[in-house]
Amino acid sequence: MGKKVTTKGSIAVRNATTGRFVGDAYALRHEAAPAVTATAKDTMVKGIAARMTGSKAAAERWYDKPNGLLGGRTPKRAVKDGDSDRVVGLLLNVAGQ
Amino acid sequence: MLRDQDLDAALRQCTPSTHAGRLYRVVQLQYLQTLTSTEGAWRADNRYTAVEVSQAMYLAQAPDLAMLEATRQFQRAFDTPTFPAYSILPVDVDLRRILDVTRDDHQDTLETSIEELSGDWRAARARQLKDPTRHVVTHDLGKAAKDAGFEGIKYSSAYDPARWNIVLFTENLTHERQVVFDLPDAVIQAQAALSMPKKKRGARTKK
Repeated sequence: MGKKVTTKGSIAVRNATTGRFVGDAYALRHEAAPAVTATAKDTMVKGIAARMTGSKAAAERWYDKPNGLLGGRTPKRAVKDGDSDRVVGLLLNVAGQ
Repeated sequence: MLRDQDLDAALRQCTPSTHAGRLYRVVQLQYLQTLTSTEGAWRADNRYTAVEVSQAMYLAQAPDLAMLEATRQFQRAFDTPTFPAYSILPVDVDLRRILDVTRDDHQDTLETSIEELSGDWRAARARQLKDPTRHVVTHDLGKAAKDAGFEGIKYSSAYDPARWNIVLFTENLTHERQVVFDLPDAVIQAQAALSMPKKKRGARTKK
């Protein structure tokens, strides 16, 4: 298990219109990324996938397809195995999060 | 690619590069509130970072390259002809200690090649998950470079080898404002509005 390290101040946001920097708290808001919990369940994971793809059917296909990055398990199997956090991570990663 | 102590020793022979300028990141627009997040890279495998190795931030040399990388990743994951709304974000960086593996001399020092670094890391990772004695060479290099204190790695794009990307190990950034997202005022205002409680947001909309 790795350890997260907060990077204060190195990552910043600048208002391109005014040239002013927005506070660090803003830049670090990702610590509370939306729709992510360690106990994400079946419906929630499929819901995230559906929002990402804009297609419930595509989300279902992804959910039932073996995934090499889950050791060949389907996301559905991985969620049942208690690895929902990892499955949500795959989705957030594709979203550029 | 060298491994373990040999890799660590070789990295000490690689001269760190600096890089200042504008790079690009692509994020799905539904994540408007968290455009600077590194949560996904922390929780998932990527080319140079295994799960929970780094709050890595992958940036591209050019906006079209950033979009190309995101498009391929999306299409690999999902079987759908449609594509959701994405935003291309300009990111100004001031980096002081980058490992540049696009350089031939560094590839020689590390005993690797562009073919090896641009190879199918997903297949290698899938094999490793079934047999932990297997290696993902780019994961080995990413972890060793991060542990050696490099701020990131500059590497050739697997989709467009003439151009490059940079993965930042954000934990190793030590100076103020080394990575600056340049966002329009309207986006910052929208983020502020979205962070308001829904009840208050609704009242404001009605006015």
